[in-house]
Amino acid sequence: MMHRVDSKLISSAFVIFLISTFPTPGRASDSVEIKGILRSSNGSPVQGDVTIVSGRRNVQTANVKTGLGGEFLVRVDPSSAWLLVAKAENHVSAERVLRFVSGASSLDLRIVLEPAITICGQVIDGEGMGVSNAEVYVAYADGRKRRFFFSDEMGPVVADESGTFCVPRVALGSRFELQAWVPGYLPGTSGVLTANAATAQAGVLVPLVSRGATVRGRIVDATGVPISGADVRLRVLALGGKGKSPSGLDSRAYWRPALQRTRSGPDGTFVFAGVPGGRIRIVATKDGFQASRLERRLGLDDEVLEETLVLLR
Amino acid sequence: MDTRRVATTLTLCAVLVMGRLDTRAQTCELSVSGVNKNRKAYGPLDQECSAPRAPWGNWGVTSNYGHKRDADQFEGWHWTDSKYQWNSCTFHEYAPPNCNYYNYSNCTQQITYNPSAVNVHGTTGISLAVDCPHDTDGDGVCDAGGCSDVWSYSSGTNWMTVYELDDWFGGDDLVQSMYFPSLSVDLSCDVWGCDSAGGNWVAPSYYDSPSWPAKIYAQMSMVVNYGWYVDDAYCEDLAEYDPEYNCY
Repeated sequence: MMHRVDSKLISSAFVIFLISTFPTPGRASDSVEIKGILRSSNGSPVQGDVTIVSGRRNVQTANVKTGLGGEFLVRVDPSSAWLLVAKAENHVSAERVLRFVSGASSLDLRIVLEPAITICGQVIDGEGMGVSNAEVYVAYADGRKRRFFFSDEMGPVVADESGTFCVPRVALGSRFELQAWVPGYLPGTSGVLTANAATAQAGVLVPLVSRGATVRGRIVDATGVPISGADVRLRVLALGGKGKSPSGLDSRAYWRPALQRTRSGPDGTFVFAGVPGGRIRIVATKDGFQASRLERRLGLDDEVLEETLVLLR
Repeated sequence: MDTRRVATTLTLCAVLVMGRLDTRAQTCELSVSGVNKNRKAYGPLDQECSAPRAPWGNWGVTSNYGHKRDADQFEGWHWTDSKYQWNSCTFHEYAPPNCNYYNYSNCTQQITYNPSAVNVHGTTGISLAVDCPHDTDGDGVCDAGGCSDVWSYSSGTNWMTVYELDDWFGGDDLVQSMYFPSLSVDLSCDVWGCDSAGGNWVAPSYYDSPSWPAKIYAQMSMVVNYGWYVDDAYCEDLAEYDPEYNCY
């Protein structure tokens, strides 16, 4: 009987094991020892460092450097979920989410880091002029998601006065997209490219061709007196494909204009530029007043909406 | 083979895999930077003793916040090639005292051009799974969930490995590694985002490569630049049928 139960347990677990990348020994203990070696994709060990992250309300990280051969060792409390992030020079970082069941005492990780290439380019407007201060983000066509990231790998990298930028670390050989956003424009994308020497040499153009709509307004009290310093938020609702680029890739850049926030000026005015079309909600709040909100549908680009929100005590 | 041990091993693997797939789409994204100021170089240094660049060099920093790069991560004091650079060779004709190559401590040491000038040596981001924005007191305003789920950010031992960056001969030259105490920042967040907040300034606790003498010095801190809520269609769907989530 015991043998049959164990066999079933092993069979069930083995099905899931087949899709696992973590060959792992386990033994009862109060802490789990996580060790491993960082390797490049050609199999050679690389020296780097490891950050482990835990917590949601109170986020805690710990940082250790690897040895010369890429080896590392950390101990963690298995009652928490941990994120392990590994990085090394000339590679893009990698991460693993670690959750433990009782009975595990050690974990041997094989972390493979992809070599990186630097990709530079320019963010331009519809007339080919450089757009300064645009935030440039990297998205990968394989859908990889990162919980912990370095801005020199995933963005935002900020373009200079001429719109020029460099992303120091893009995964060599990967299919990727550069996406850009700056207040006053709708996000733009380079389209999906391959990270190789030819792309790096040619440079990448990221056009911001649409300025989107502009929403202006005033915050006043019941007597029409302007209210300054009110918290004013604009949120785009039910926008099809929200958060994705035209290529269908998840995008931090395409999220940026979907939730905007400002404060009303001394004359009670506010403005949101670069607003995507669709249903929007504007909310104004200030201590001592009831919140006020309105919903509108925005049409084509360049539409200017002028609204007044009244805050009642 | 011990069947229970195999089962335990495989079950752990299974949980690890499930963990990788467990993502909540609505997140609070924090941007966190490592910053430094009051940079000094005591020496001895032999990083840039060969022509044609001797003795000046721009220094970069690899840290738990990012990688070294040819930018303004650890600014020196001598303006060369559009960067504040350091005398990176303290031998031969560049040895102290010499007021052409040293600007501090009677021309025997170096200090950054402006000790209070803050350099960002790396920036990380973290996407934290949070609850959908919701209204706990029934006034229609979202007062829980989103970024209000996040209270503090703490970094364990911080480190900065400083290199003299060399684009002429290929390799960057290690100057030294500095280790700093852990830092913690209490956050002021509402549902939709977090204000910028900084930690204390701390001095190095210890060094390596080499562990002695201390060749360089800086104070560092950690700054949470912002937090912003990243929405998800799931939360809008939830708002359609649960009044608690239909807030603004």
